[in-house]
Amino acid sequence: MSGSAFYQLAPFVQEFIYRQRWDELHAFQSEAIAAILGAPQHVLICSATASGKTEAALLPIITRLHEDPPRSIGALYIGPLKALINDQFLRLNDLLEDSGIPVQSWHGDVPQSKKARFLRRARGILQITPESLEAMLMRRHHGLTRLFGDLRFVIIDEVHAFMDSDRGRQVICQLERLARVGQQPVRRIGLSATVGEPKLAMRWLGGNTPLPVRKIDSSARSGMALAVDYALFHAPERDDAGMSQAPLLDDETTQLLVDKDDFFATMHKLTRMASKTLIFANSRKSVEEIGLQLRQISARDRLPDFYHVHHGNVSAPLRESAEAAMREPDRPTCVAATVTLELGIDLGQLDQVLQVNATHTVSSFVQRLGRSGRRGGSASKMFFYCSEDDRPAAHIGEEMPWNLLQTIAIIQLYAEERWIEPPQIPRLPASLLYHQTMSSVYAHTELTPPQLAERVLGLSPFAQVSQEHYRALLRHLLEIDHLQQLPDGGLIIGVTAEKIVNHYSFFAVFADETAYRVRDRTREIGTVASPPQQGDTLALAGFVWRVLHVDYQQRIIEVKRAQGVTGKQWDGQSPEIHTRVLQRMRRLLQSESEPDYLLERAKIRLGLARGAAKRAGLLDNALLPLANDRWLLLPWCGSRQFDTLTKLLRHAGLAVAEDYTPYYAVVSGSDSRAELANALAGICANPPSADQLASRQPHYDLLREKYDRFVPDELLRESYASDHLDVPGALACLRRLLAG
Amino acid sequence: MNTLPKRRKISQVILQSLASGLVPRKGVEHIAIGRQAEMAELQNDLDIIFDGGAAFRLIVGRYGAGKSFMLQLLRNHALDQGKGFVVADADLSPQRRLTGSKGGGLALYRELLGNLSTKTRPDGNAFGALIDGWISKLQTQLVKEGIAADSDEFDRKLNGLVHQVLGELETMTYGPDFANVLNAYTRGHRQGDDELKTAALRWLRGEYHSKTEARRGLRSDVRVMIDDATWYDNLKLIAYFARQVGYRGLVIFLDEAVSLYKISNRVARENNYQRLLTMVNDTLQGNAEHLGIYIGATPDTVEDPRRGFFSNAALETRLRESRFSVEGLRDLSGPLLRLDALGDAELRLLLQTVRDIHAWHHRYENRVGEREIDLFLSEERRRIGADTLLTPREALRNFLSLLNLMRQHRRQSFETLLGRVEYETGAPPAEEAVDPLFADFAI
Repeated sequence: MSGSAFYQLAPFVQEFIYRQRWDELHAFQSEAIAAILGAPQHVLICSATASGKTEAALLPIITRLHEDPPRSIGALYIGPLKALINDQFLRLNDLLEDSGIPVQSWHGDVPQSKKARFLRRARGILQITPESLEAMLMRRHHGLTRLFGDLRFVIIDEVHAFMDSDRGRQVICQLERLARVGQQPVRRIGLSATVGEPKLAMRWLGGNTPLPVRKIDSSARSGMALAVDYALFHAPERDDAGMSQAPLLDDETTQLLVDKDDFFATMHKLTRMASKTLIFANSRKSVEEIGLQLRQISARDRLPDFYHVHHGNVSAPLRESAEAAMREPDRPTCVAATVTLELGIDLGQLDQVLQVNATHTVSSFVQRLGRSGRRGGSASKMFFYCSEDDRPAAHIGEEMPWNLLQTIAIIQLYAEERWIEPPQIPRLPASLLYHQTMSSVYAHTELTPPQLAERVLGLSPFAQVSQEHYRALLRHLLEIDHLQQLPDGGLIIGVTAEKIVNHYSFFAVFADETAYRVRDRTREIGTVASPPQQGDTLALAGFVWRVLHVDYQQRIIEVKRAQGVTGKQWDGQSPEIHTRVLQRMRRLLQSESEPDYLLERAKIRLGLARGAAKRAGLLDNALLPLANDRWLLLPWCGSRQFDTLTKLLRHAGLAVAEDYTPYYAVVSGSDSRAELANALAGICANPPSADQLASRQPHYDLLREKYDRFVPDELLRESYASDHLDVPGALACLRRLLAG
Repeated sequence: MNTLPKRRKISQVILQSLASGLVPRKGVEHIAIGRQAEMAELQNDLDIIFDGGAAFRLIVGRYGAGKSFMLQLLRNHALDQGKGFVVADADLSPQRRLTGSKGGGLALYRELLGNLSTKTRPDGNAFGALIDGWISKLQTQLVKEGIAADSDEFDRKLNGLVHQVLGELETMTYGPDFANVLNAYTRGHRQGDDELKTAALRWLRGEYHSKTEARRGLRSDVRVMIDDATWYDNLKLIAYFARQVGYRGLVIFLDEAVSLYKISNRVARENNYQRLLTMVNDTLQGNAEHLGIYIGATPDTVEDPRRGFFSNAALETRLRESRFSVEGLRDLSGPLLRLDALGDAELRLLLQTVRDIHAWHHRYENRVGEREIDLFLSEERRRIGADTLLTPREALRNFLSLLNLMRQHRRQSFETLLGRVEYETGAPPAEEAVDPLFADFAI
């Protein structure tokens, strides 16, 4: 046993390590111990599962709590899942017993009697979920000083699961609320799986505290082993028989054609060659299809079935059993998943990650890539499948393999520049603002308006919220009786809101999934997570549908079959695609180079796309004439700017016939280039404001987060305008279009 | 007409309390204005309690109407009658309720016991002294009868007298347990066993966390603990016991009933109102003896049909005032005692009274006459706006800073000083200062 870090630990902790016969502390553990025992700073520990992150954080914390026992709970462990909280300290049980430092897990399943016993003394370490911590802040406000007055450390497990979400911002609010009862700055210890870019996690962990963040990364980043394959699927049997042959189908494209059965057979083979495989797809439907196909192949060939499916509509116990199977060593497992497994809990290192079609973001790609590669430095392996259906293309926009281009662009952005999308920090997180307001009033029973404003607007996620905004929210809450004002000015919880704030579901800021059912007359087509509006198109069950009617009460969407393609999946909020990704795609079409991770079919498809783009003038001319006074617009910008752009077009009275976010739009009704250019120049000269655009959104389209429904319309529109629209960005694209 | 205090200790308490917006704990009778009718009615209550009856009153008034003042006045008044009443007061708060899942009722009981006062012990914690006094009295009585203090007979007779009183308690709910502990206390007293006395007092004050702990302290079996379910019955026992040992009864004062109204959980709120109903029923139906309960509440707290006392139908029926009450001809005998805000003339009189106390306390000649008081009042009204009610609390606070300025700067004109007062308006001072950035935030 060596290293000075070891000798800084309390003697009984050293003894414990001897007894465990650990050969040595890993380098990152020594580093973490020294950092935690050293000068006040936050520490972010990035390391693979089962590599001893928890020990690295807890051994020095136990040492500190033992040497200088706090007069309240000394350390808080916040984890995203009950299961994690139950298992996390198992290996350290003996040590904790030796130390005499009490440890209590705290969530809905822990019996009241145990909680009461722990609270009576309120010392040691408390393990808790954000939701239970919220409950504590609300219901035990008057005991907080006794419980947390001398808090020294907060361990946040699975930091990556908390970032960039309302739930993560809720955790930040909670830590800042706790800081008000403490005397010293609490040190945050973040634990994270080895994921792409730790800078974001460091920034999140530090928040607005004065302490610096020290990063400790156990993983020497090994190389990437990537492969991108492409398949053109035979057109599905069509209702309207006798349609002309696909125009793509010439000598070269026949090489691209793949039978869907063969495609899944290949995928099946790949999963059987590895012990642990994770397959990512972008939609639930696609995940379901993959799971079903792979399982059918296993059944047909009498091979073992180790396939699981993991997405938001799969019940929690099934999801948990999939996660458990993934973590179990030496048991072949394959899970097909949506984004749910990208950031969720640590699954351990996987042999390979398969990605079906492009990820939306570079960061998503990097996170998924980080899931693979065994400890000891073997490269991270990720295999991409990009596919298109072999269908007739009406114009050059439909002819482009957008998915393949996006995949390559995303890989290149990371490989060439290590670039990752900057975090999107909402200026007006209205739902969370409502939640923290109600939680604070509940905790205090009564607050005067200045006290409430100080306590809530003083939290860093609301740094950009003005007093004017807040006044509008509070007025509305008084109107809907969620708050009540007493004659002396004090605010209390209104009778109408009592049911809401007293229910356990209030503690969570993320919504339960409530899907909309999609119906064609009496036939059920499937479900979507968020509702489109009348007249929109949506893709479901392999077809495109036009929305006839939406019943928001019954959550039923009436649809009719439609032609064409649509970029809208209506499958929850799809992550934004950044402008830099689109611009890299354009450069990819311009250049001649072929990245070496492209397999043969992908190379051919890229070559075809480059040729077609050149012939059509796609790259020099961003306004392309189509038949019937229709024009193809390719703004090469991100989805936020693209979305704003189509709103600008519609605002100016232009008819947007097709919109395939963020790749192209088709505008109809202009019979000359000059006329269209004139109209576009008019928009640039006299653009509407983001607020004007937002004012045209239907109210239900503004409801994005759990408590948005209690936020006044005008505030939601402002939030939409500032956090979902980018008028200057869209105008810049428009000017580039005109100059093109 | 009010009399001036006789001692500067009292005038100091009055001036300091008023300057910080509080009702003075002592000398409150020197600044009582009006309220003669109400006080007469309450005096009538006290007589009934003395005679073995019970009383329950809600003192209802808006913020600043003088509820706390009234309660304090009545408390001091009750302390002063003959041998006096035993009194106990407490503010209801989020942590101190009539009942609650986290020991809110017990916390209120503990607060009451901490503030339990008698004429000779007006500052609280009088329960121990009360029992000691009782035993001493019994001992004196025996000595007078000519029984030698160190004889076995003395001990036997004393024991007999004690059990005579305690026996009376045993027929009441939780009476046997209460009597048991009192008995332990007297045993400790006779045997010089301070540990046992302390243990008995701890039990009586509801300070034991568990029966095990209580058993160890009392060295005997403990069946019942004072908790959220039993505290009120124990209060009734204390009332009865107080009368048995020579006091006129027990009067408790609960202020800030708005805290019950503010509870943001319907079930918890209703449980509290249910407990209130028990108290009302007990006192109106004669189940409680020698007990008076006075509660200060705002009109909304009582009347709001959604979350006020009237949301409980039975409570509403009990509390509704006589239907025959006509404006101007108030029926003061119902359980609701409404306090109107002080009228203009009364407010003037109050300011004059405080002016006189200030001058007497600081021994100086005062320049404030009727004109100055008028000027002060119109300045106050101008600052708070016409639609806001001027409350005595704020007016007195600001008036006292004006008087202090005048005393320190005798050469400056009244008008100049009037402009220099740092006027405070609005809610009572918060526990902690608010960041100036948000200090003016209003909805």
